[in-house]
Amino acid sequence: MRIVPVALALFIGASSAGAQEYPCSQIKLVVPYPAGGATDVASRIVAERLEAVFKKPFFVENRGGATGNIGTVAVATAPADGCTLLVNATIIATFIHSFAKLSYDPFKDLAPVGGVGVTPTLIVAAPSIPANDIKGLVEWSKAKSDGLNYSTAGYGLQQHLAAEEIAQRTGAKFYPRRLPRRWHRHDRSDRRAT
Amino acid sequence: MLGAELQKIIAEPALKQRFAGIGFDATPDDADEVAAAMRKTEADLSPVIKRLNIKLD
Repeated sequence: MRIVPVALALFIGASSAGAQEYPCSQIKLVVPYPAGGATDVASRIVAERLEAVFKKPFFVENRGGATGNIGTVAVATAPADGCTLLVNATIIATFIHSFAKLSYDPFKDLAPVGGVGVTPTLIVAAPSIPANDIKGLVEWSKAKSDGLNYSTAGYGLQQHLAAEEIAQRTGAKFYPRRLPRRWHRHDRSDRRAT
Repeated sequence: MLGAELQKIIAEPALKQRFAGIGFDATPDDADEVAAAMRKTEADLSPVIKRLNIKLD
């Protein structure tokens, strides 16, 4: 089963997209998620190489919150000097459908610079669950009268949509559970981010 | 200029190796390819969002 791959990419505010010069003394890469996650680590690797090529400081700023929208809006509305970049996933293309109010248009207010990478989405379960693969998990969920609860990195993000797509295609009884914010791992890394 | 340099960096074998170490596959796509990926993501996943009636604040 193949679910839509969601890629990480570098973006720039659309008003800066045509700039040929690089007048900035330093360039900020906004990562709209907490420090320590995969997007953050990948961004720091890229920033290190960009810094070596352009011989200017490229620094990562973590601006997490609101499913990545706080940091994304910051780049979409940044001055049109090309000195503020965004690292985010192509899933933002769907936000015009999933957010009741979105203060930017991912297609009009941001311009892609280039791709960065893709990372797999995993399903993990307690060892006590009698399934060793997705097929087994689907079958087990169907056999359970109350199905299976699951939680994801974010409601409306690719992990959630992928689980729902699996359920739709297979008839699995997967039910998303929205945990109180205090239970999310991101809360702990928020406090560690500097 | 930035896009071309980014593409070269993402295609570097050393970077690919570092990415592999954190579970990433490097994708040295250009801006047009990213734009196409965004359109495909929207086209593929918006029906799921509508079916689930997801409306976030």
